Amino acid sequence: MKTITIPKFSLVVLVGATGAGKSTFAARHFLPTEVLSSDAFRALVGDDENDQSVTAEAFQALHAVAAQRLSLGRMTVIDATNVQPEARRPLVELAREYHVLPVAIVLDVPEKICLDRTAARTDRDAGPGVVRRQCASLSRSVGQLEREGFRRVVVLRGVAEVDAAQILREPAWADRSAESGPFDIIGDVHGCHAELADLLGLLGYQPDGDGVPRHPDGRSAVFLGDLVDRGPDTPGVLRTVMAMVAGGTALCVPGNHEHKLLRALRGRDVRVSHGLAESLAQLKAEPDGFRNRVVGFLGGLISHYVLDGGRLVVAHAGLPAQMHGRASAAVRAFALYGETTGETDEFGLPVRYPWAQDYRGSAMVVYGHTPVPEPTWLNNTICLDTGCVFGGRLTALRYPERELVSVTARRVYFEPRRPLEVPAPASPAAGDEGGRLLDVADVLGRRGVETRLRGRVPIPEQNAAAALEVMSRFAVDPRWLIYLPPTMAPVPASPANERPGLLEHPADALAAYRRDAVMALVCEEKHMGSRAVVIVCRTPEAALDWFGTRRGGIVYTRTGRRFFPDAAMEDALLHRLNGALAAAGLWDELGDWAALDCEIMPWSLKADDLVRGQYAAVGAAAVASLAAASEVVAAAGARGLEMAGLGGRTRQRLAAAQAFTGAYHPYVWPVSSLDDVRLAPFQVLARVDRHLLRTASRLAHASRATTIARRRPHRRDPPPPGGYQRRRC
Amino acid sequence: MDGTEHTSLRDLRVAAVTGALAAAGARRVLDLGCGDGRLIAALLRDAQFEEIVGVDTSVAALERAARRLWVDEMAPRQRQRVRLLQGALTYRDRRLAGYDAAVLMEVIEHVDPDRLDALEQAVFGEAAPVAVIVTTPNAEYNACYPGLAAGAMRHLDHRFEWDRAQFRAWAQAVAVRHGYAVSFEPVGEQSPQFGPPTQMAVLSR
Repeated sequence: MKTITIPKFSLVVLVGATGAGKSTFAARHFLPTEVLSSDAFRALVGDDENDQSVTAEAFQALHAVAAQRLSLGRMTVIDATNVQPEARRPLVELAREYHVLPVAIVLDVPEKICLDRTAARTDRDAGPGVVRRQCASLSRSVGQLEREGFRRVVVLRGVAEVDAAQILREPAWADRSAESGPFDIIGDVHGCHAELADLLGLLGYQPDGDGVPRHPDGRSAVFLGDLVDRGPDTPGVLRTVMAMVAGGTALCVPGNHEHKLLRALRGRDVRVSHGLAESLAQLKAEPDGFRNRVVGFLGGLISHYVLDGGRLVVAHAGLPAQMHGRASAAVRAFALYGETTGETDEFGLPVRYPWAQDYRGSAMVVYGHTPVPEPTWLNNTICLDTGCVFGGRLTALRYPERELVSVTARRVYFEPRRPLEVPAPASPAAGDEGGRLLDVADVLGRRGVETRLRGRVPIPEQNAAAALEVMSRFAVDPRWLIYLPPTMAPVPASPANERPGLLEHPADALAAYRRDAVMALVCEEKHMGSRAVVIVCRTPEAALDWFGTRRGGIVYTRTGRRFFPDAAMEDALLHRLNGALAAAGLWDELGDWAALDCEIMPWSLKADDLVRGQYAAVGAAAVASLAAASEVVAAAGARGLEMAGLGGRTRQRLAAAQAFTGAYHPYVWPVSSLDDVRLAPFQVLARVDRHLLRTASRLAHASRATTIARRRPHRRDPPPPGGYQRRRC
Repeated sequence: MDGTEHTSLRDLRVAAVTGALAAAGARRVLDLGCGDGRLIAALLRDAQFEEIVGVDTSVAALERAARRLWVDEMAPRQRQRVRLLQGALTYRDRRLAGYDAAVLMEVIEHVDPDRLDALEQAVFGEAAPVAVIVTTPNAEYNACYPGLAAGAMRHLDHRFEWDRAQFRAWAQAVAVRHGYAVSFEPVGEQSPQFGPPTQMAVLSR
């Protein structure tokens, strides 16, 4: 019995003449949905599975469906004769495009049996000539399959072997999603053995009985490749890592330097550059047995790993989402070398394509390869190569904690060709936009937002389109829009019979919160102004770092529009607020920036049109006419007419109209400079470990807000009622 | 548009832009901020323009454009020449790369001044067509509109209106930053004192 082992996700191409038993074989080993049969596609496009005139259209449809399945990572089996090389070529191309292992399973059944079976079928009109030609093509093909690009070729000879074959599906080598860590992921070591020992010690690894570093909490190290070359002790690094991998306390993916060293050790003709020369010299001093173990170790490394249920991917030079967990020469090359633009920079080094800028995958990708002065997160990816061998640092990322741990290089072991400080050349740009533009593909079309409490909230395409229009036309730079405040949820209205004349009452509100099991309630003064979000950055550098611009911050409305039409006033407010936060000593606690949920007074600053056009107009008209009416009524009364009833009603109405204008007067005053503006922050949403909103209590927010308010210079009391009217006169 | 503009200024603008595109030898053209498709309709009448892509942030405007151009009833060959896409000019948009020319006709003044650098990066840095034609009101000429108060702008949604010196300074700085050469042309009947009602810059690399 022959057992065929194939990866769980592969493109299986059945090869055999009509009557060889392909469909029976496919039905026995695969799900009906996994099998794409050319006959079925002839029927789908042309109503008749024997209609050879629609063969071209049928295969186009079959290839299209295969492409969709492969892009989704589904096992796909092609049930067609596939005896001609030109029939197989597009299938190998599909496998390459989607980075899937192409497997050929050849059903080499004697021609006589194929002929007999075909003749016995009434639904087939393939003549004996066709079947003979197919069998001839097949025997010419068998030897060609590997050269055509099939990575695994299985030939089943004779009916008995076809019938007895078993298929075993194995997980992809890169698939280690069952391992969930926690991990300590370590960047490019490059022979810096002493620093590696320092870092492992700092991370808490201790030698076990066999001297293998092991973490007391069962953590695993993950090495991102480029263990070797350039540094002082490549054999020492290899010895440590090989022992940890063998002892089950580490995983390791290969880097481009391992790839080249392996070729050199295997005696291939490679250009021995400065760097590789050190490794070869150091390894030459080691016993043969060690060198052989190194060759075995390096030769067995898998290009990348998918870990922790698919949430984490590690690869030396990074990996785009469509390559995660997949296998092809292109995947391996990307994992080892990354992507270059084809250009070289002023130091003669290839310019790397910033793949992470385009990354939109859900898995975190941790990689090395490109020395950076400081690891920074970009689209859920991070590069940990901090150039230890160049005198930088050796860095680890604790996963899932997302903590960076690093040790400083003891010295410069190797002079870099390109100084670390020089950032990759950015595209020329005005202002601060270079390379930080948002991509319209991220906001158009049907989308969704993953939320903590409600799972995925879908955004229909037309809503995304409407949002793009309104936000791109009216909102501030979207990078500032970290928070759009919701309106406040009112408590239920008080029962009308118990609270006559009152809509709400504190006792009923407290009772309602108690019923909803709210554990703590913070009461704040209600400021009658306009809601605003204020983001204030400690320094222009912090603003550039977090928001991609050097502006000191921004003030925007509940709908994301600029609050102040007057930029100078906005700048002055931000400047003053920055000073207040500094004076209150809050910057050390908040970090680089703070976002404040605020009310800005006076209300008339934003609501001027509403106040003037509706409230003031109504109030002025009512007061003027009712005052005149009162006089007329009083005069009529003076002439002895009975006016008591009408007089009382008119005075009442006049009082009501005056009360109406009096009601909004406290919230209305003229603003000629920032000194006329009041800011009442009632919630601080700040950077601090990114979870402030969730974890810190509202009480803490309130006390912080109070601190700022107390320190704010030039606190202004509201002007006396009537200020607004005075201005109008 | 409001009534303060001479009614034929729009047509003069379309003619000036079409002429500049023809002079640039453009065959595949982006109309960025195409609105309801007035310019596209003119370009479709000239066989030189093989592909015309209209982009606007407003879906309603694109629907109006489709109706004005009778897109649903076009013959297949004509239909292939035109595409209407929703987009926003302050975003990178890969669909817009590789064109001969882009037109920003009366568009930049609808963008907040502090978002112009994003528009510049998206159009000149990312889409990077061979030629870019920009038109915008000349604020000096507003003095010639009797219905317009001093300091007022021609349209409620205009975020700014530049005089000739401001527009030149902006276009020249953009040209330097992105490797374009720039020339300026007046559009519409010129006032000896205030210049033309519309100013146009042609940038090419």
